[in-house]
Amino acid sequence: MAELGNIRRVYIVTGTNELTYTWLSGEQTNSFNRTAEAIETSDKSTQWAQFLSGKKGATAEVTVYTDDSNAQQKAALAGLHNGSTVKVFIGTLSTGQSPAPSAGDLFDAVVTAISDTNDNGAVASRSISLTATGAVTHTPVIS
Amino acid sequence: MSILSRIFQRWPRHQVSGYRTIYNALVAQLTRQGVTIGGTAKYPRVEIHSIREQERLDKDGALRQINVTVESISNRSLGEATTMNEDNLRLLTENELELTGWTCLGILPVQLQDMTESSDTNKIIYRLLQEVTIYLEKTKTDTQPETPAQEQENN
Repeated sequence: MAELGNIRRVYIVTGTNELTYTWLSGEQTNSFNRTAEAIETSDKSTQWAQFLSGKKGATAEVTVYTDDSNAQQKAALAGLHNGSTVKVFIGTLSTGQSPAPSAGDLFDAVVTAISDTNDNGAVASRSISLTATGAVTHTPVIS
Repeated sequence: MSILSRIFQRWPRHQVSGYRTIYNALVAQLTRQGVTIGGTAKYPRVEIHSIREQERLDKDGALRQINVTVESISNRSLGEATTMNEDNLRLLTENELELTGWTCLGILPVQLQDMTESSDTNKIIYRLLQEVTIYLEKTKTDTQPETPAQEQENN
């Protein structure tokens, strides 16, 4: 069934054994881009290029309204300044006492850019770029 | 607590302009001596001409944008209407708009329209319509962040 983009949100994940998902508050939009390298294997015997699927990767972009007092935005800023990774989930969570991913992608990421936009006559916003490091875990599990 | 009370208590979470919240706050802010605020046919007069709540700015509805048109009406001169309009802008921007559950981030003048007209008795009514944009944020509390279940319930 189709879903509105409103419910697929970006969460900063903390904890080791028991994960806590905290919404990146003030979120306007997010995008998640999966990629796989194409390794060419074609030779002179074929007219059409042939490829093998190579290394996979993912990047994400999220735009939020700037709030320097927000812990999750601070974590993203710290990730960029300190070069540390942040654990991120993009998608929807279950609605129980202990929310867990019901659909979406969980990954560790390095923060590659944070761009602030301060326009006249608009709420200040912040765009955060993430690049996944290591495997991306998709829910529901891909067989 | 009655069902109606519970509905009204929750209303501001869904729509700031509902339940006269914004209207009352604006009237309180614009009230001063010598100018009538509201519906009586007296001059000089200031009216809240319209309130248009825009699409929520973030996914949780914590940030809202509301366009309000404030009308300054004089039966004496355009100058009086202009002065009233300038006073309105000063009163709106000088002090923080007080809305329960919401923090005003700012009020920006957008557009000014002159709607001066002749009435049936050929008396000229000087009307200025000033549109302003009000940015509001849900007042933050020190409580724990909402769970997704609570968020869904509230939205």
